[in-house]
Amino acid sequence: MTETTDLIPRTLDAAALGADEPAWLADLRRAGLSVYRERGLPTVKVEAWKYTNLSGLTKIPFTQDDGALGPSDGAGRGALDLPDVHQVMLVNGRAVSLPGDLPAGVRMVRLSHLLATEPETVRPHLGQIADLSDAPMGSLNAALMGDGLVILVAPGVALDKPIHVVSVTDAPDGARHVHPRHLVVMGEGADATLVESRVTAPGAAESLSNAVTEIRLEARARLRHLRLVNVASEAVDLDLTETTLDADAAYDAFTLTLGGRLVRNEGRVRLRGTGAEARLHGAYGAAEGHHIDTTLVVDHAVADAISDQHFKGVVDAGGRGVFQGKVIVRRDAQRTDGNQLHQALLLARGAEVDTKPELEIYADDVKCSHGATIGELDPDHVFYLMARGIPESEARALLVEAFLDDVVEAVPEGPLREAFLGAVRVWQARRHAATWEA
Amino acid sequence: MALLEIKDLHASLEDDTSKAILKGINLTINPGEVHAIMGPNGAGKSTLSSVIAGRPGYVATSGSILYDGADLMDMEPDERARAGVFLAFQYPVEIPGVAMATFLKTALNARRKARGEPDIEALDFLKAMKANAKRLGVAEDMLKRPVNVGFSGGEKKRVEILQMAMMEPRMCVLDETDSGLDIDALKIVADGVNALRSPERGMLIITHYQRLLNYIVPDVVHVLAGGRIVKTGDKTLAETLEAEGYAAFTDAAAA
Ligand SMILES: Nc1ncnc2c1ncn2[C@@H]1O[C@H](COP(=O)(O)OP(=O)(O)OP(=O)(O)O)[C@@H](O)[C@H]1O
Ligand SMILES: [Mg+2]
Repeated sequence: MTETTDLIPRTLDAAALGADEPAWLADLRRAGLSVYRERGLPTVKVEAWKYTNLSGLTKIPFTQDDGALGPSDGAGRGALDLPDVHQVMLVNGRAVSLPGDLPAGVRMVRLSHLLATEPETVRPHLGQIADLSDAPMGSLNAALMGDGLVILVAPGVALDKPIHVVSVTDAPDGARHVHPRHLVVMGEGADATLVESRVTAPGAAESLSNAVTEIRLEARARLRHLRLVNVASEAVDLDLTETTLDADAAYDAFTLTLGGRLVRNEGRVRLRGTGAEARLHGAYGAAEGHHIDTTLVVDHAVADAISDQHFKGVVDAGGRGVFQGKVIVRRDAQRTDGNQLHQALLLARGAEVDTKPELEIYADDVKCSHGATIGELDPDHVFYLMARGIPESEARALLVEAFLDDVVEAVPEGPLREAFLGAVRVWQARRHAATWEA
Repeated sequence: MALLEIKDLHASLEDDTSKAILKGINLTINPGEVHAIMGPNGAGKSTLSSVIAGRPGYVATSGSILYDGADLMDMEPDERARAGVFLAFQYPVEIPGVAMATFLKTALNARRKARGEPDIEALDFLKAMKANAKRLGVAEDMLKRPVNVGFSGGEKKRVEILQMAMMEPRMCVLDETDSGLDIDALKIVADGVNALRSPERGMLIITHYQRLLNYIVPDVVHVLAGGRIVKTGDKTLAETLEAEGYAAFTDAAAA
């Protein structure tokens, strides 16, 4: 029999979880533990994990991260290079550097610090925004949650420049699993741009990052949430982000994922105030050996809210893209406007894409749409560019960028968009280099 | 040395090599010469231009094409273009998401890179682009739009010639550049083409109408029918064709 690894040791005593923490937090951990123990590591028989198989995790001799690592040499490589931002670096969820010059009304602190010094600040939010009872990996995070970043923006405060969180996963001395837990609370009318770069430390062993982020946008708050997931080919990176929006709040998310052995970006959005708007846009590039899963649930709980999901995937031979998008429109959510679109570009034979759109509509006066397309590069386009002297690899790269053009427009024009486009170009250059080597 | 030397060229679709479209084309274009090719629909004119440019899907089953002494068949389409072969397409494709200016700059830089030259200065590029746009009556904002997307038929043709002017090729092949152009545009585009005539440059102009040849006066006129060049003459041949049609030649080709 082969040895299998349990992410939670069978011997772990529920009573011992969170022993030196506030009781409410220990309860949270125990609730997570019981869900995870009941369900176990999700298999492909679980509908929400049908296309993403985690069984390989049991073959990796993981140990849990102890939260003590500092930044290694080159940590942050692969992150966006952004001028003029409030930058913070996390290693396995723990902030190793925090900016000192934040404007009044903005706090960026370690979760561990807040739990130790002012737990009551965290308590109304942590575990309250995200309902993880149906999420086995989210529950595992609840049980084992390590450190994370808390961002608090006071009502009416608009940040002067973007926050950039460089989130590094490291496993210097053997495989590690880590369960970062982040929290973002934006007060009424607050406004911020939060950029995240999720990367792997150079030379890291195999890793599993299983993060949960909870985001609360109070009335009229606006968050632009831009993410680059650029992890190593050995990395498994699972992220579950749950966002609730009060009246007239706006959440503009853009996620660009470029590689990773297995990446799952799970986004759950609850529109619980009228006039709220959520745009979940993104793109991904899956080359050989990469599996990229985007799973979205948008829940229209009230009337007159707007949601829009638009993802584009570029998949090469041996790569796989998964898109599961769901829109729920509750009985009271009249005049909902909910759209969903997934478009994939297959670059070669042996590229695979699975899409599962779902609309669950209980209201009668709604405007909802969903669509999915799968295509290839048009040979006439490639030829036209080549007929003007552009080499084939460059022509194809230009057309891939063109394909992504309209989703990338979700990123504010200027240095931010340039940085994301730069990441796409590096990815393409790397892909072509690999092709020529082969 | 001839600029373009086509010898006994037979060509067909890759998918159906049993059916020849070009059945033994012989054509020599020397530097400085302008040749016109006329011929009925389906004669193989665009196929000839496709084979010269290297469009996938077409194969030369026998014969040869030498460009400046080099075997074109050994070169990829992009290498041919960088070596100075330019095809103004009969049907330019629309490419959403690629800005015209980006495309032009990438094309120019690809050629410069192949020659070991540095990228073109942004300002020089803009200047050249604007000057050519002005000369060819292309509105500047069209260059900010994606390649050919939403351009009218005539606009596409003007922009093909704009590209040609920017690329400064040595061998220009124009496939029905006049179709879709109104009378004023025809003159503007012809002026643009004429401005590129030079002792080093050769041109092959495919057209159905003598009118274009009144503006771009050819040195040699060929009639292509049924995959063969059935008649070669001077510019007066175009006038004869305009008056009498192709009947005499299509009969000859069928025979
Ligand atoms: N891609 C293709 N698929 C099928 N048939 C083709 C293709 N390309 C050319 N042919 C056939 O080859 C013959 C020559 O076509 P070609 O386009 O070269 O003609 P042409 O002389 O340019 O005609 P026109 O004056 O109408 O532009 C025609 O019978 C055409 O149907
Ligand atoms: Mg034609």
